[in-house]
Amino acid sequence: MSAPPRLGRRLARTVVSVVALSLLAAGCADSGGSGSGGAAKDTVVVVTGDQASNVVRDYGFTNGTDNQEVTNSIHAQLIRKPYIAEQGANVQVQDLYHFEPFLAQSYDVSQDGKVFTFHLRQGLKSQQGNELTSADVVWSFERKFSSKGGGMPGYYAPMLTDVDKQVVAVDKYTVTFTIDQPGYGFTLLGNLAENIGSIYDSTYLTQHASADDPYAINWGVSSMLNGNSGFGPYMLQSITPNQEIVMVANPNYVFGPLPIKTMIRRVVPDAATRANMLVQGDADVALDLRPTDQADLASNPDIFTPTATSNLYQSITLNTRRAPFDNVLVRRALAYAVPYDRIIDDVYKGRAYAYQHLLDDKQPYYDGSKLPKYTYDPAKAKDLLAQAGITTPVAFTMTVSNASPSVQDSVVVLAAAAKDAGFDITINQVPAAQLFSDGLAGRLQASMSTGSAVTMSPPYELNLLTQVGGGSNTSFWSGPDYDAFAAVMKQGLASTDAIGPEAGPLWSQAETMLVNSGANIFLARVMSPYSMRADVHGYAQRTDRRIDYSAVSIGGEANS
Amino acid sequence: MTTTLPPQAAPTTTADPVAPRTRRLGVGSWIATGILALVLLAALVGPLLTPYDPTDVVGLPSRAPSAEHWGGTDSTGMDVFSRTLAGTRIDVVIAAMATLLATVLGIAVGLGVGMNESRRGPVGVLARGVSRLLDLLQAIPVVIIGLVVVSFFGTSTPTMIVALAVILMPIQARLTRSEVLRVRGDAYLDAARQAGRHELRLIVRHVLPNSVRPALLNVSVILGISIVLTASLGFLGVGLPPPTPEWGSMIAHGAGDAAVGKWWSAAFPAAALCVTVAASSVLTHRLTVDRTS
Amino acid sequence: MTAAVAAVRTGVGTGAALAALRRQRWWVMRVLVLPVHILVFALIAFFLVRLIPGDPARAVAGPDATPETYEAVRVQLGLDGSIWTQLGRYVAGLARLDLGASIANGRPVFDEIMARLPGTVELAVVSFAILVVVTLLLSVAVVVAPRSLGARIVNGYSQAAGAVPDFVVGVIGIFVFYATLRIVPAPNGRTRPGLTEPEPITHLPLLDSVLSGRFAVTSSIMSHYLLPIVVLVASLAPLLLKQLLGALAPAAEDRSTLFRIATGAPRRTVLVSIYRRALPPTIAVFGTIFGTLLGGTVIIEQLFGLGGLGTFAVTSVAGLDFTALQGTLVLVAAISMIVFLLADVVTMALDPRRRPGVQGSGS
Repeated sequence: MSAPPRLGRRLARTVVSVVALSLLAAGCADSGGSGSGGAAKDTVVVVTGDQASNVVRDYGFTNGTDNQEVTNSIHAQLIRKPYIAEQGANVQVQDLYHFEPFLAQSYDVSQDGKVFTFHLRQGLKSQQGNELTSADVVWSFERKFSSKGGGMPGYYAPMLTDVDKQVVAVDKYTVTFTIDQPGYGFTLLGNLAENIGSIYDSTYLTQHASADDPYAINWGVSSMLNGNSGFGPYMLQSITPNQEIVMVANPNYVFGPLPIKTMIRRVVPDAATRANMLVQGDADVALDLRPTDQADLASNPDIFTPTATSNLYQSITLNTRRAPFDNVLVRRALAYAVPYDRIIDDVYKGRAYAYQHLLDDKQPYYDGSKLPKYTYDPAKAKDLLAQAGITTPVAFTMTVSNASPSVQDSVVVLAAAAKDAGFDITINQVPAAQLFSDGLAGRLQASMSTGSAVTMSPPYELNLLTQVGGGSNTSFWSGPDYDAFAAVMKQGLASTDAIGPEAGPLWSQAETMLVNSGANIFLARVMSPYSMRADVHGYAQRTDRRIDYSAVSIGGEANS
Repeated sequence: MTTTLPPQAAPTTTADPVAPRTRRLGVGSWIATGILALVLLAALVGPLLTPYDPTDVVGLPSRAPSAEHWGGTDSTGMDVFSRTLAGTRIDVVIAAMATLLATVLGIAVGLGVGMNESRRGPVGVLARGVSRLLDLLQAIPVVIIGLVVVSFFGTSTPTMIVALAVILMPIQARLTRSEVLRVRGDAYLDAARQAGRHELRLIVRHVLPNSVRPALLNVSVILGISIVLTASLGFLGVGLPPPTPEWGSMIAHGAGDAAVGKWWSAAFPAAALCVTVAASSVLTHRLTVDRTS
Repeated sequence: MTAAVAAVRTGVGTGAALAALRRQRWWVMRVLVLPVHILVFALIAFFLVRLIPGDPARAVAGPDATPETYEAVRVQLGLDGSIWTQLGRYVAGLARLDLGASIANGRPVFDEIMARLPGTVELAVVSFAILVVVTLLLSVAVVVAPRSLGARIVNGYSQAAGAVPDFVVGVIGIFVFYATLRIVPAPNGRTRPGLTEPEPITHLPLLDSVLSGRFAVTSSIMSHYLLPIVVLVASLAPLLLKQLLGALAPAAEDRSTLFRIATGAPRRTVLVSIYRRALPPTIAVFGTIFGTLLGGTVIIEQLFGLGGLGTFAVTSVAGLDFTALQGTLVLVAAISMIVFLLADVVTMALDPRRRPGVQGSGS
């Protein structure tokens, strides 16, 4: 058949008009981008990689950036850690060692350091309009301890074991927490200042309780919008699954009214696209960016990237029950096979800094002088392997999460560098949840990940990694060295003040023992993966690394 | 004649009244053949020719292509060109083995099912069950099955091959089965049966050669799907672990950089992948058209 | 064999109604066995999901869980007891359309899926319609002028079927059209931030925005859909084209076509005749592609922030959410099977020789 010009032309015309129409539709709808450009300055657009799916902290392990930011925004606690300036930082950070009133107007401690009395603010209303009373505090702790899913009893052990006896309402606006040992006090206050210390509106929740569900946990889980049961700055307004969460300011918030009235949280799974959206002005705040993108954004005057110290550590955990890392010399050899500087410079592009131990070095009475100095030293690593009587190369598998690009890049750099130090590393990538469960089950030889303790209390941080059954204990460190370590820990806990002159050196000693054991190799501290438009003000770096949106405002002069 | 065969199953016994087309291979076919030859050559000797160790950090990270690093370096400082070249072998091996396995298994299953589907008794029931199962498996997107299978087997080259073969086998089995159903009723089979030929011999001598064509012609498609699927799984984070030089994982790893303008670490493996799949697709298409008309 | 079918068999000639039923058997049978197929599939999904290593109870129980807490969590998640007890509970639940509660957040999986399904279906239907139109138009261009430059380009494009993966097209598309040229909106979901979707009427976002008269939302959704749809169409069209062109070529050279041309029939009539011959064998492929659009566009969803069924399945795998994953698999499969069934019925309606039990195929 020959070409019919008429039909061909008609076809071409159809195609052209379809394309033109769709382009027109695109142009009409969202000309000049779809973002904050048109939005008022009382609205913040946040782009996040994941989406909160459960805001009931007592139901399950509410992991993930978005889950924590959303739950943090809904809830408030009795006390909080104040924001202070830090030398060399361009944002404020949290003071780890003092607490200021939040829902409580004040608190005092008994002479023996065992009874903490909180005086609540009077006339303070919840998101549902019910007044805060001591009954809310007591009920909240009953709920936390009634649930199996949230892991709360674990977080509060050993400070609180019997809430009925230890948390008592004295009168309508006074509540006391009583502990057995004064050494627990600092950790207790630390927990009360974090999201695990959130106070719920018991009047509202008990209305939805039933015989099967006395604390309305299942009711809360059944719809995320049932989550507006706190005293925090923001409440959920709408949820589009895997796409968007909108939160609005709580009119009853203790420190209201807030400059940001509406928070739009959009899910953008690709990290590079989040960075692009920030550049284009389609988002005000971008969460979980890659350090390379943050480094690239540094020269952009429209973008502000917080620089401050961080409690997020990147570490290697070695399973001390499995060959070859059942030998302390092999573990130490690996510590000398890590190219610390390359990881900081090449993978993190300066968004991480050298920090080869666990505890905060600004902690009162801290002494890190006895810590071993690990550097990249292949000769020394080979020496240690020879001493261990093991033939090189030592082959092993290192498992990482498939959802953390920086860790994946770090392990590639490590594997390349460790070849010269006598190690042959095979990399295994698994989903984060599998890394977690396989690690706790002892199925991994070695793993690399990032982690942090939200409650920055020395005994808490150390126990998380080492305690039998500890939540992050995947090294299963045991034996005489561990027993010596545990004895020092016990001594520290028995002292009257966890951050006092007596306990401080003990924690430092325990930490040195841990680092010497090589069970955990601390590579670096990683800075905040968040960047924002330069006109976003008030960001302060919290120890949970989540954003306190009640402190944020938008507009005016740019940050620098 | 109007064909009632499923797609892909080109008529094999067409007495076409239209004058046959010239049997000349076009320029496209020669180009495709040339490219495929190059790809195979790269798979054979590529790893020996790479300017740098494809699994080692050999330079500063994220450098644009230069005289020193023809394809630039990726975000960890590995040489992109060396990795793309070395990746040819891994991708070709995975794709070829998976395709071979899927096709052999698929033809066997298709034959078994097709010949026994109308039989009475347990064999017939089993055959009909398997046949329905093959249809059912089609109802799930391959990417999701792949995700589940790979997370079970773990990610390594052999498990990737097995996973892909399992996912792709039903396609080949279905093609073969429908051909078997068509051939089974042919008069010469009855004639052979009446002549007392053994059933197995009958299958091997008559049914097999007459029913494998669609599956064989589909090999290039399967080959293409397996390369792309490997890449897709890499994109979803369950590809071969680093630093294995595999195109899909390289594209997935480089996609983020590409989105902010550092195109090279994803572009080189992506180009290699597209060109390979396109060449094999074009070539088989030309051969098919050439032979059937 | 279900009772109804048995009745059809035994009731031959006993009544007009049964006789009518018997004539319709070719599709009634297919509809009747559908639930059986879905059940079989549900079993496959159950065991497939149980293959995934990892312990969701451990992940949910979280740090510092004591052994008692851990056990309690297993009970809470329905992961206690043997695999057969779990299977029993699962099948019993299925009968009540209860897919169980999500391990990650405790909500019914059925509700979680239903919250995502309409958006996914809508995008699938819209892309599918455009895909079909584009494929048909391109194929017409080839049929009417097989030797033209345009036809050569279309042919080459169809031969490259599957060569360019959707994520490559997607990444390039976002970089060029969003990051560089800025002609499409940010890949951040269906609407621009601040524009909330209308109250659900049909639960299909685009349709709801039209029905509720909020055309600003309509145009925002359309502009957000533009690039993902172009990416999907560009990467899927070659697959369809290849099949369609393959079927069109013999149809165009068929004796009856030549006869029509020879007798001077209008071009339109000739074209219609060619497509009527070529379409039936390709309809099954169209069905498969629609199935792919429902659950297999994970990567497009991830790239464009369109949280749908695919994303739900992927996050379920990553989060070891067994119940959510098996529920998604069953539902996607059930919908695909219904679509396949429709495709088959359409094919058989167009071409009665394709019905089961019909003998002979020659022309």
